[in-house]
Amino acid sequence: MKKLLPAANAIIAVIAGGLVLLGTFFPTLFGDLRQYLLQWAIILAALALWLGVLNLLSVHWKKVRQKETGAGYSAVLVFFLLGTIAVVVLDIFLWSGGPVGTWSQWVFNNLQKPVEISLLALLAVVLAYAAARLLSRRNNTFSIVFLASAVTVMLLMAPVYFLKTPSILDPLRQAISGVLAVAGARGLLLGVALGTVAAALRVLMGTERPYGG
Amino acid sequence: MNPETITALADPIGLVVGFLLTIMVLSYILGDNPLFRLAVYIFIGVASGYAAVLAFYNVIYFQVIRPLLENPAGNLALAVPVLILFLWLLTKASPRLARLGNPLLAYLVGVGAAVALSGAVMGTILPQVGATVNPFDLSLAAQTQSQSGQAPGLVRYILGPLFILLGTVVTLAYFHFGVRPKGEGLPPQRPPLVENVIVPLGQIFIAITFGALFGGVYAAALSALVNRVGFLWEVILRFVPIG
Repeated sequence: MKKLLPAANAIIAVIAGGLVLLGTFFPTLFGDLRQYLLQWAIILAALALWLGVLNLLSVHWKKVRQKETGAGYSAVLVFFLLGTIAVVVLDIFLWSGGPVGTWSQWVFNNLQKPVEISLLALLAVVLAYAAARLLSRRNNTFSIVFLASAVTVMLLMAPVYFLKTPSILDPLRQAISGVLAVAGARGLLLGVALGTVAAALRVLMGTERPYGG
Repeated sequence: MNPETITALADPIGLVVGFLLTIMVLSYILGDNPLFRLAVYIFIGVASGYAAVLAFYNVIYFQVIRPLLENPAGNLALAVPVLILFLWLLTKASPRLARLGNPLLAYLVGVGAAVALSGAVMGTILPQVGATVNPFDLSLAAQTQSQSGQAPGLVRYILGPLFILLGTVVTLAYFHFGVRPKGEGLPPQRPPLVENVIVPLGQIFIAITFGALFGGVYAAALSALVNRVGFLWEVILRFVPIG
C-alpha cells in the first residue's frame, strides 16, 4: 500500500496532464475531453481554496481559544473573514447584488482597496531605501547601470513638470525602453518559459512529484 | 433605522474606515508597529473571505448548484461527485489522513503542468521568438513600412532588431550554468568566450531591464503614494473645517 499509492498518484498526474496536452494539440480529437478535465480541475481548485480558507480560520480560531501570543490579531482576522463572507453571501442571496452588489463593494472599496493602495504606496519608500542601500553596499558597475536605467526611465516617463524635457533625450528613452530593456525582458521571459517547460515535462514524466509520492 | 439612512451613513463611515486603514499602513514608515500589523490582519481576513465567496459563487454555485436547482435529476451526476471530492479533499486537513488526499493533488498538478506547458510554448516561446526574428524578414518589413508610410531608418529597421536579438541571446546565455572539465585537478569552467564576454554583456542587459522595470514599479508606487496623500487630505477637508 505504501508503494502503491505514490505510484497511483504519479499515474493520475501523467494521464490527466497527457490528456490535457493531447486536447491542446489535437483539439478536434481530444478538445471535449480537455474541456471536461479542465472544468473538474477548476472545481477542485475552488474546493481547495475553500479548504485553505477553512484551514486559515481553524489555525487562527485555535490561537484565539488558547490565548496564544497575537490572539488579538487572530480574533480580528476571524471577525473580518467571517464578516466579509456574511456580507457578500447576503448580497448574493438576499439583496441580489452578487459579489459586485452595494455592500460587497462597500467592503471592497473601504477595507480592501485602501490597504492595497497604501501597501503599494509604502513600496515607494521601501524601494527608495533599497536603492540607497544598494549604492552604499554594492557600489559596482551593474548597480550603477541598474540605477541609471531606473532614473532615466522614471525621468523620461514622467518628466518634472517645471523642467521641459529636451527632445534630444527622446531617442535615449526609445533606446532604453524600446530596445535594451525589451531585449533583456525577452531573454528573461524566454528563460522563464523554458524553465516552465522543463518543470512541466518533469511532472508529466513522473520524475518530479510535488503532490507527495 | 431605514435603509436610506443606512446607505447615507455608509459613505462617510467608509471614508473614515479607509482613512484609518491608510494611516495604519503608512505608519510602517516609522517601523513595524501594532497598528500596521492590525491593518494587515484585517486585509488578510477581508481578502481571503472575499476570494472564498468569489470562488464559491463563480465556480461552485454557477457550475454545480445552479444547474442542480434548475434540473435536479439531470445534474445529480455532477453534484454527487463534487460533494465526494470535497469530502475527499477534507482528508488533507488531517495530518493522519493527508496522504489519502494526494491523488486529487496529483490530478491538479498534472492538469496544471499541462496547461503551464502549453501556455509557455504557445503564449511565450513562439510569440517571443517570432517577435525577435520577424524584423529580419525583409518582405514583412517592407509590408509594415508601406502600411505605416514611414521611411526606412537605420535604427528602427537594422540596429534596433540587431540589439534586441543580441540582448535576448546574451541574457538567455547568462543563465546557462553548464561547465566543462578543464583537466585533471583543475576546477571545471565555462568556456572563456562565455565567461569573459557573453556573461558580462548579459549582466548589463539584465541590469538595464531590471532598472527599467524598477523605474516603472517605482513610478506606480509613487502615484499610489500621491493618491493616498490626496485621499487623506480630502477626508481631513471634509470632516475638519480648515480656513
